[in-house]
Amino acid sequence: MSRCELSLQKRNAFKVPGQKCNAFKDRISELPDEILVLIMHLMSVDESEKFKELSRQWKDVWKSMIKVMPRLDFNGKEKLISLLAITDDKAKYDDHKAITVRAREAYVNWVNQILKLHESQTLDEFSICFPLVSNHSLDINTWLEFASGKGVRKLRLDFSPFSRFGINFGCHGRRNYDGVSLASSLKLYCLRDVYFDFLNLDENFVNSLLSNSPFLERLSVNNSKKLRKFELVGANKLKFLEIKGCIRLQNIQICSAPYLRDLDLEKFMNANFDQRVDICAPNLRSFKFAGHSGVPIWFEDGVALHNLSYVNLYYSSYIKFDYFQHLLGHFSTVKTLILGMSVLQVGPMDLWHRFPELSNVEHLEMSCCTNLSPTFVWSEGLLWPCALVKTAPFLRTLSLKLLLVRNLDPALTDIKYFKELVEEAMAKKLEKADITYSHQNLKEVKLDSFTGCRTQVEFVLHLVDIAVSLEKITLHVSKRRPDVQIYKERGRFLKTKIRPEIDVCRKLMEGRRKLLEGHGKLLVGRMKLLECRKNLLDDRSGRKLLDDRRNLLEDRRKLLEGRRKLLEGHRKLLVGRRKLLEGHMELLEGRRKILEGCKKFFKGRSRKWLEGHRKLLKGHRKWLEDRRKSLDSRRKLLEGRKKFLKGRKKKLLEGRRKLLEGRRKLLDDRMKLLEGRRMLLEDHRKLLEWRRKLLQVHRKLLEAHKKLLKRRRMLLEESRKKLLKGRRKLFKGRGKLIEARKKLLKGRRMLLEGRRKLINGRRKLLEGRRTLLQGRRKLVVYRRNLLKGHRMLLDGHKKL
Amino acid sequence: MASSTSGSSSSSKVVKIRSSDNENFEVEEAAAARSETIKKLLEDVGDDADVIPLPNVDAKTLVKVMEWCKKHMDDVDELNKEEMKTWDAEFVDMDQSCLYNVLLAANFLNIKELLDQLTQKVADMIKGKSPEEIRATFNIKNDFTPEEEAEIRKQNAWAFE
Repeated sequence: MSRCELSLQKRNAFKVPGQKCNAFKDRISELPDEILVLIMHLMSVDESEKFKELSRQWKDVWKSMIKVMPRLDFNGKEKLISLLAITDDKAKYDDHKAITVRAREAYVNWVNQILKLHESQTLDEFSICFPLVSNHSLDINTWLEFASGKGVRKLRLDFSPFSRFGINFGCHGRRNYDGVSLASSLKLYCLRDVYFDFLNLDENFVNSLLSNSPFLERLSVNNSKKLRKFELVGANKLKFLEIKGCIRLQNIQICSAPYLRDLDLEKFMNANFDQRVDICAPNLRSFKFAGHSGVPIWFEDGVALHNLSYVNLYYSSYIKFDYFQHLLGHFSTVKTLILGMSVLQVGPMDLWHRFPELSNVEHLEMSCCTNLSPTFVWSEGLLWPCALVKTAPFLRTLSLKLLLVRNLDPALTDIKYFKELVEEAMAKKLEKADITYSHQNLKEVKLDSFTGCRTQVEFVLHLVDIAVSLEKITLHVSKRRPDVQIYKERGRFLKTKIRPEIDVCRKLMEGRRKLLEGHGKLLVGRMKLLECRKNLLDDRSGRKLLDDRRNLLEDRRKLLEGRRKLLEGHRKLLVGRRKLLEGHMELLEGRRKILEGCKKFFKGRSRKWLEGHRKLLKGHRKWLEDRRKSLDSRRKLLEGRKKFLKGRKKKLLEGRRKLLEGRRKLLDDRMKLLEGRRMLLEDHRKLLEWRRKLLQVHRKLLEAHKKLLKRRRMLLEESRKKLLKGRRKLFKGRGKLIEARKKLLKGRRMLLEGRRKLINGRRKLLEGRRTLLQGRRKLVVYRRNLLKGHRMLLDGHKKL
Repeated sequence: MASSTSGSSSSSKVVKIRSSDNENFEVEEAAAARSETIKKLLEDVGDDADVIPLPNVDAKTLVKVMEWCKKHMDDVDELNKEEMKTWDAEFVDMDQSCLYNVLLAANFLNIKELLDQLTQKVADMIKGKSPEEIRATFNIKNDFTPEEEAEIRKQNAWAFE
């Protein structure tokens, strides 16, 4: 209300709305200042400056507006980009550089001029967005002092360069603004929200900022090359913290941050040994981390993260299993888990089940790639998503990006050795990982860069297998061609891996061939031996053999004797058995007698019982007759009564007397009936007596049976003893037989030796004969020569 | 506070308001209380208020504003936020004279949320356009001489040649 009145006083342009709208009339110019301020408030300064160009009136409006603008947003980046775009491809790098330098000057001047116009005592937001460097430190310092003097609440200094043709314009590394001179003097008491990008702020600056701004809720420090350490100590109201791309940062320590909800730490690519991130923020809701896996993150033990629901982790290289397991332990409340690890360095597979349960995770997003190094089984990469899915029973959506998983060259997979190696390893690991179970909640699965190689298909089938309520699977098929270079390397690896194996095989085959040859020779030798034996038998030269045989036969005879004895034992046993049978017969006869007794008993019983019964029936009949009579008497009584009613007293008395008589008869009949029953009971008693006798007979029978059994047992023991004796003798006979055989074998061995000697002698004989033949041949030659000499001598004689 | 009671009991409680062209409206108090101006008036006057005259708002605009107030009467929970967003976007999409009137009315009735939405709409209409385009959009007459205009353009931002 008050604002409205104020505007009415301030500007006469306010008119009662509702009057007919003139299409050609400039209505927006008539808006009150405060609305125009609100509109300008939503625009950056350079945009609002367009008002100046609209008309004289607007120029005045702008001038009065800028004096009180609560938000000063100096966005110069877009204009710089458009300036560079004008001189696009013809211009060279130097031209761009020159333009950037000139633009920087112009920009700083512009900001200074606008700031001069600003008169209001307060400022909500101050924002600079231009690639400035330390050349303008003085100006930037004055701007910051200006902003702090007006109690700025939101401060944004974005000096980030922009890339073009692969060059970062305005990026000068060490020459970035560092704010060192301001570090101690800056008083930003009202500050709520800070964003710094490409400022080389060191820890002193950040610390003084944190200590001087007790109400700071959001802090974002990006790409600072000087920051080595970040500490958040003591009470503060920080809710949002973002630290990105600070390449020299080594330690982050967030000791007490009771209000911290969002934590975003990115680009920790500098892996030093002493790097470390400590976090103690009990109210953390979302946590993002991207960096080198050498940077350990330690959540304060004992501080439960009850509100943590979003986690995004990205690691540039392997991370260790133990560490990952430890980290997951803190994420029990997380609902959305995004894992961007290139590879989890897998530990022993039996550790899989030791993943802590992610009992709240509903959305899991991961990129998963396999290492192509030769020692890595390429299918392992998909095993640990399986394991993670298992640990998250309430998972609803799974999104998997399959990085670098490429189908192996078919030429390689055809090599049986390699295939078997992989399959065997895979089967083992699957077995150990134990991933067969049913998942109740998984509904949606998305696979990015699906190449359709076997493990991926198996992975999908696995998911289909386990997920009971799966509704949707989305596969984004990758069109990238496999990396030829990698396959070449793999090929080389395979060759080197398979060669020794083949060598071993070849040696083995050679060995076998030799073995077979040896076998062949052995068989030939054996055949010869058999032939020799046949010859030997033909010769009948082995008398010893015959002796041995005789002995053997004797032993056999003994053996037969033993057997005979054994048979005798058997016979005795049979005799015992016959006796046993006789006993049985007796037993049976006893039983037959029992049966006869039984039969007699039944006969006797039936006769007497029937008699009793007959009497009983007779009594009954009599009773019935009596009854009829009693009925008759009653009828008569009734008649009498009738008569009595007619003739009264006399007849009544008569009738009564008759009645009494009838009753007496009835009582007599009943007495007879009772007598009949008594007789029946007597019969029963007799029956019972008979039964008792029968039982006595039975008892006697049982005693006889027992005696029979005793006798049988004794008989059996005796026969067994005899059998054992016979067997012992048999064994002795066999031992002798074996000895005789041993002797036979010795004889044979000697025979063989004799034969060998014989063969040696024959060989010598042959040698002697051969030398004899040679000598004879020589003798013949001599003789021939002698004959020749003789002939010549004769010729000489003849001539002579 | 009127707004605090509005949720439960005052669904029947009705406020009478009169537009500049003497048309009477009956509005639920909870909806009307979205306007800080009306809320304050009601607090000052109390229950025996007769009809609240709004001399700056005509009937057509008032209908529009009250439509918004009714929609935003209750606090929005997370689920309906998206729905509300699209509704607001559609609501703000109106012709310029209407936008102008509603803007003024929102300012007069001091409905901050509506004012934010409307100014954002106007800012969006201006953003990314050249001065000529803005003039065309809002029917603004250019009363600069070409020299003056060139001069201003030179001063503006940090243009350099």
